[in-house]
Amino acid sequence: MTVHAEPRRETVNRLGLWLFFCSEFFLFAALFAARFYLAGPYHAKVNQPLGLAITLVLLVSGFTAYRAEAGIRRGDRSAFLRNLLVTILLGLVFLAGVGVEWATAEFAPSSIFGTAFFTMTGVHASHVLSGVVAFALAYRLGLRGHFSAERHWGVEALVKYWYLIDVVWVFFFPVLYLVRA
Amino acid sequence: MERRKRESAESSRGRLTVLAALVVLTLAEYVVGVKVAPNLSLLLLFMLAQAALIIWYSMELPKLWRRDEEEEI
Repeated sequence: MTVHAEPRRETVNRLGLWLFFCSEFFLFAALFAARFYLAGPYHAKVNQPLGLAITLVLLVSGFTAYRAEAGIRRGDRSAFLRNLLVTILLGLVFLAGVGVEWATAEFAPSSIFGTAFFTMTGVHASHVLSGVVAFALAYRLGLRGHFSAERHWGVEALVKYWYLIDVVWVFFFPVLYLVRA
Repeated sequence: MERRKRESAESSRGRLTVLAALVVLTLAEYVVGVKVAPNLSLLLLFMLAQAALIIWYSMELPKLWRRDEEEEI
């Protein structure tokens, strides 16, 4: 008779998190498809250098988020808090970049491309904002002594969520800023 | 504690390599998109390569099917 050990709590948590990610991928895949259904490969005049800059900012923020997780994993609270703060700042820079793009866009939100552009960047930015808020909460909890080398699942999940935001932008940036007929 | 620090340093180097690869791919994608041929099929290669790097190494997808005992080691 084979006896199977109960899966650890973290293993189950990870599976649940990935199921949530799958539901998010479906949402963003629908937006990705809608962009081409509505506007084809056409794109209006967008600020490509700004798009590149905020993409790089988001990629670097993924690394600092990881450094925060690595910090708490080895019990280094100051590294955890420092990197969390840098990640929050980079997230805010990304949001500011999106804000500039919106404010200076030379196409109407009601145009075909505008509908796709503002919907995709808007839904993505709302995820970035929720990530920044969650990081800020984690920072506050970290200041109060929450999380440790043994107990940091919340931080790990948050960092993975941040990477999900990275993955989505990796697809959105080229189709909104680069692809042309 | 020392072992954790050593592992953390090694892991950080790995993540830095992944970040460097992502930055290079993004810059190459930008150059291709702006200067060369901004067609979807070509850009899709860049997108998929970057997504695979992030999902595999940064989101640690393999941890999903790794046995608990292996993680303890």
